[in-house]
Amino acid sequence: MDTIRIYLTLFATSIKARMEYKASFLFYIFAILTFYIGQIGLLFVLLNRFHQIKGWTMGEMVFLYSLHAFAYGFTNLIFSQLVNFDKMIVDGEFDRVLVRPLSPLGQVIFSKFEISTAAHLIIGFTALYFGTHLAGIEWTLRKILLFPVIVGGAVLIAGGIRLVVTAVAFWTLRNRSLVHTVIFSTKEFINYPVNIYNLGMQFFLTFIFPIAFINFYPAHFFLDRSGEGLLHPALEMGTPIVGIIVFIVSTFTWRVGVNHYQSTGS
Amino acid sequence: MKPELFFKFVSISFQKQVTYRFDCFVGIVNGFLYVFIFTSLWKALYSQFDTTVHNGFTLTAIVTYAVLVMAVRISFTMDDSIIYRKVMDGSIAMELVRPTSFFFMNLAENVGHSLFHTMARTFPIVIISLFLFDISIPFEPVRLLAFLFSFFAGYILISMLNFAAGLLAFWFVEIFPFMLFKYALFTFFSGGIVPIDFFPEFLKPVVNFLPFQYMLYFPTVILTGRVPLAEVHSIIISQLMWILIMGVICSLMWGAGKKKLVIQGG
Repeated sequence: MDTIRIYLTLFATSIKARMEYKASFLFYIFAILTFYIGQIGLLFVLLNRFHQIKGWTMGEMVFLYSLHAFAYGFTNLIFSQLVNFDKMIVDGEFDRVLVRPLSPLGQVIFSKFEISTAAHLIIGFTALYFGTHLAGIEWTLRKILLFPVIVGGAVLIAGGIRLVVTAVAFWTLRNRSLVHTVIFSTKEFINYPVNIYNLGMQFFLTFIFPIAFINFYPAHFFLDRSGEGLLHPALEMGTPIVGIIVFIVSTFTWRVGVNHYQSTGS
Repeated sequence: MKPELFFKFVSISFQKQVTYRFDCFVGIVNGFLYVFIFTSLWKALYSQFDTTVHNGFTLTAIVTYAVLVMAVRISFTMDDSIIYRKVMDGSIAMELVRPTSFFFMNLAENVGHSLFHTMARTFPIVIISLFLFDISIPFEPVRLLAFLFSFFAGYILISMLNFAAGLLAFWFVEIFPFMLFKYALFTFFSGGIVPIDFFPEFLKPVVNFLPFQYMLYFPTVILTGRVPLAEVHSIIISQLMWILIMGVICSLMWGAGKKKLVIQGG
């Protein structure tokens, strides 16, 4: 019980720290929204000219985008500190974490709250609204109940990937460029339906680096689409299971990393 | 500023980059990832139609564009947080007492950075792409020369944009939102992902009003051969005009910023 209270205090403190500059906070949200509107705008430009991408219409693409935004928003909320984790190691700040009587991973995660989540939720809900209308999604009770489950699974996948890639810092110390490539650049892959890539890449994004489960496969379920590409009907519902597997593997990697960790001495 | 001094700073900045070899390797993968995603996207879009030319681009032409625009973009890699960091840690004070122009110092630092990324990332990515994709670049010496000229003009423009955005640190504690905002506008309007030719008519006036298309789109289409040689000079004149406009903005901001700047001790 005490542990939970300590975590909540850490969490609240980090929110206060981030809200210190209110104008800056609002402009930050605005800038993120502009970035995503730009991305959706480019999709619009393309679809305005080509009507669809490999069988995916504007509405369906927007829905794909909304799943992505929700997953990414919640992942950012929980796992944001991992992005700069190598700095904690290089500066020796991680040593302080290790001597406290709390789980190191818990402390790292609760030490920073990422406000960009607010922007992602705005984008997620807006895209969900327009996606539903444009693509004519019928929200049955089953779909409504499974939506949070799918988003939860997607967060485990995205968060698990972050954990693995940050754990690399235990061996290499500085791994900023790797973290940015794996976390941010690969996001671009699933802005589009995964069936535009060649089979090798589809296999990679399904079984090795399973980000296709964040939006592409579950979108088939919500949109009542029949499968194409590598899709097996069973993969539609694979997101929660894949999420759990990825998360178990990643926490294991993190533990191995912590045990391997030697302080930089700074 | 004396040319020898300028190149000395370029060389120092270049050498700073060389120390991060792992980052460089990751950077190649990162750049190639984008090339792969966008070439896949265009192939998927073109495969849906019997017509082979869309908005003046054949599939080969658009794949060539996608590869080269990314190549140019990577060559333009620079650290846009230098000024912000100098203001934050107070070392900007040193820049004020130096007898050299701060703008050219900054440019030299950028050039060293970009030169490294051109050699270490752009060239490998273009060479790999030549083997993997159907690319055609017209070989005309005059065109190549025009491209180089337009490329450098675009580079100076981007450098000025980053300089002006960086100077905002004189007025604001947090400039990351501005940088994100700039990045969002740049990504959309520079033609970095979708060439301007595909934009709907109602967006054209906005595109023409902003300098972004002169940074990436025009240098790239000069190289790919999309622009007839007879039109090249008018593009370069427009670029020079924008350099003049941005130059005025930069010097006004620098003048006002110097007065505003408060250094808080050491």
